[in-house]
Amino acid sequence: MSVNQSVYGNSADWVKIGFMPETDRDKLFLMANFGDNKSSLHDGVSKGRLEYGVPIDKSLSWCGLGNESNFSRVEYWNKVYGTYTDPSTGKEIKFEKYKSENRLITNFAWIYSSDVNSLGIVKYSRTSGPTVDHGAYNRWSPEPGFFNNHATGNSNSTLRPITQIPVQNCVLVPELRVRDDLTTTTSGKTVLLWDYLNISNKVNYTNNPYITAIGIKVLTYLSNSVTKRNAYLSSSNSPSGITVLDELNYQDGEPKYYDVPGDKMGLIYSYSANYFGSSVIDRVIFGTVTQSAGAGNNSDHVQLVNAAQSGNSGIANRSQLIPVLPHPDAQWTDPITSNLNIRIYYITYYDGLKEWIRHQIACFGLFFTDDQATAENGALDSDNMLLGTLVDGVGHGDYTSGDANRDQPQWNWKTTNDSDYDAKDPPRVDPNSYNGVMDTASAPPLLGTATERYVIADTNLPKLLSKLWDVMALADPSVMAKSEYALDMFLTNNPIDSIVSLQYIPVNDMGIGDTTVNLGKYDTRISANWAKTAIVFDCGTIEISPRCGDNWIDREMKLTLYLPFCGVVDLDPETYINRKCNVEYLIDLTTGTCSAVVSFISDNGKRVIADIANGVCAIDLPVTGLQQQTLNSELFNATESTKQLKVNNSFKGFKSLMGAVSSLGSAEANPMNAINSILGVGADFYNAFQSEKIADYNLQHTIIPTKMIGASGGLTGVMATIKPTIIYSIPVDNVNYNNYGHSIGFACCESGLLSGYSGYTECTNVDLSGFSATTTEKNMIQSALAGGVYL
Amino acid sequence: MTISLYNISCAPNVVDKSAFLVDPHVITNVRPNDPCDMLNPSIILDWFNGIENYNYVYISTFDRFYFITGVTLTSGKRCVISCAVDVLHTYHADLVKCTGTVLRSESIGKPTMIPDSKLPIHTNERIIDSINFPETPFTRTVGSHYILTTIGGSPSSTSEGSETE
Repeated sequence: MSVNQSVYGNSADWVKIGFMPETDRDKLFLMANFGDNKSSLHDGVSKGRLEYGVPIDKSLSWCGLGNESNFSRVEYWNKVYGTYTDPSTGKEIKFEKYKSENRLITNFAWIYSSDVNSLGIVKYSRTSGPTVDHGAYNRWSPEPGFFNNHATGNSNSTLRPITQIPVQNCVLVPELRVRDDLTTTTSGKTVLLWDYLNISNKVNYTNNPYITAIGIKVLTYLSNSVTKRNAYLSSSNSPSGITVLDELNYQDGEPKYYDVPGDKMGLIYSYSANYFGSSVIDRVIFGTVTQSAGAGNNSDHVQLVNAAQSGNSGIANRSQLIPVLPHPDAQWTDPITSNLNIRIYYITYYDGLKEWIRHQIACFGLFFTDDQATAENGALDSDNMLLGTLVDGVGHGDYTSGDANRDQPQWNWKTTNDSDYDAKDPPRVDPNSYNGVMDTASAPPLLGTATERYVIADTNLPKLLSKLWDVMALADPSVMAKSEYALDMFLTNNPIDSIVSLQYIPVNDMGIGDTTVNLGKYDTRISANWAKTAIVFDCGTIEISPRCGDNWIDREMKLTLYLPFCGVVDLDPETYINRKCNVEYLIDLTTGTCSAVVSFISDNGKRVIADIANGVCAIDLPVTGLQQQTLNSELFNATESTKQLKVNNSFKGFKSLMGAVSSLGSAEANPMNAINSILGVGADFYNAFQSEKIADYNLQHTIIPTKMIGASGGLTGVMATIKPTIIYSIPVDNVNYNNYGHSIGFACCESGLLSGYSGYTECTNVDLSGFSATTTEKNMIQSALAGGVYL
Repeated sequence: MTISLYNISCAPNVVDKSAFLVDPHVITNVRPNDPCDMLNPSIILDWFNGIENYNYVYISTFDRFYFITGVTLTSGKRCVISCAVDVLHTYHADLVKCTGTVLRSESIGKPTMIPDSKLPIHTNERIIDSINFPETPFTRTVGSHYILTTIGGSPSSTSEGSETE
């Protein structure tokens, strides 16, 4: 939308800014002409073009600044040293962020503020009412006012709105205000970004890492005869900045005036020239409005107001808020030693700062670069020349470069007045942010559990299983004879008892790192890999192409996605046709469960998950084996028992025999004792040999203890197709479209001139005004058109 | 009044019939029947051979084109021609300048995204086709596909199996 010429004057009369010998007006920077070549807001009021106290016309904004721009996210900080109690609410106010903006679109103006063309104006004073023009420092959204006292009055009156920027003759470059310390009020240095990034430059990011402001410098060809772009709209004498034209939110709930508790501070203070721009850096996009009480204009720090004082030195007579163009990593210093009221707002240089700056500048939709050679004389389609992208006239921080600049509408703009953006009727911006991406799945790290998980090759598994049945495979007879055998081996385990489960999972690449299988204390020496916890596998992408000419018949198509082990999923043709479908498998290798994630790539290139199907791709396999240590133990006990019985029985028989012999001596006294003793010897021998026989039998018939773990499962899924497959079921249309179209037309629903159609046409709601048929005839026409005619 | 008789071969719902209006048979001094409806007039004229071949007429008095809907012989070698106004051709030059909502059009040339209930699509007769995704995590080949989960401490050096296999 062009600048409103009924407010800002005829474009042919707009006033050239400063010195620029160029005569082609399409290549000039121009500002308003409210009459008699006067451009200030004061002139606008005095000439009757502007109304005092009413925000100026927004048509100065050639584009909108999206929510991504810092101007949509201005913060306001309480400028209070110590604490201050709001007399109206009793709420304590201290140095902290008070409020911040969050606009979807911000309209703005570039402002020039030299007084050259405002000389000779009549100075008005306003003394009545609470809105006394007063010393003001932070009211930076311009509303026109009379110039009553430039030193402390309504400084907005001197602002001069820029009405034309020659797009083809304007290249923006970033500059920074930097410093090497945070503990003094020493002035910082202004440096262009490319110099700052040059380590050999006197002021660079290593020796001056603290950045207090970032701004935009304008370079332009001052005339056709020069070959190098020069700085223009410079800040050296005439602060040039950016101001917001939309309503600011800081006055809502703003604390009241200290000395007049019924009035808001915002009402007491008028509007100032302290837009974002100063004599040390132009068009600030990061930093604070640093003009502040006691700290002077254009300083690199902010002086807080002593809340305990009233009058000129205290909060009563000073603005309370510090507008801040923020950065996510920015912070305030602690009070500077020499002056406890002073703070510095800064960021420290980091690698991604250059890109952050690019995004901020790109919001203005103009050509820009951070390359010196390109800035000085590079073509507008050279590789390092960037151009902010505008979506429906709004800049969101994206940009193009090189040849791609030609594809943007600004390429064809001569001036910003060629924009069709209408600040009074900005495009609707969806407040939701859709720029997020649904995260790609990723496997969790290895789980820390008491279990060990091995991936075993198909060829090695039989070897492991056979070892579980091999009595001696995991035992060492030679060790059994050792004295420490009991300690080493009896405090151990059956190898089979170490097995929790065995699963078959028909998936590749499940292992990482080489190892051998341990079964408790036993190293089987079977090679294996450690098993991953889970794997994520991308099956690739298929573009679902229309099969019937990309029309409604395609939407009658039935799309079924077969997902191995997870079943089938119906795909909505409306969603998937002409989009790329992706399948990703998430497989939990601990349990064998798997999820197939079906997604598509949306129109803005983002991945959207549409379906998730779940299944199981593993089977449990039963494992059996000897309880070898139990067996060993039984064998050992039985063997020892036999040995002992043999020794014991021989000794016991001998002992009994000797007892019987000795008893013969006493037989004379009692012959029956001797007989009984001999019979007892016989019984002992018999019992002893019987016990030995039983022990031998037990040893020879030791039952081998076995154990089975798990049970058989089924995995027929692996017998079917193992690749995800899309099945198309396409309706058949045996139609001769030429004949069909001629006899009945093709269904559509569009509005237009009937002359734009030919052949058979059915049409309703025809606007028949403009010719003089009778009502009956017009009804007949409507009826005929609705029934179908040949145009 | 003067009329021009035509024999047109086009469909009555053709808007612009100019191309079919050739060889007019112009008759002057035609008398309208009394009373005469402008939209459905009856006119009286003398019978002539070949009158039955005409099916369209322009009546200059009304500045309208009409379909001939009937010819009735009357006494005195006269006949009465019944007419119905053709609003489409009469106003065709104005009609094409009008805007409206087009629901069906031949000039679209092909089916659109608007479902067309009149198009004979056989939704019960379908072509089945399929396409595989390029990759799969699953396999049927021999490899390392067994996962053994064990529990227990680290291996002891007191036992050994066969050599690493």
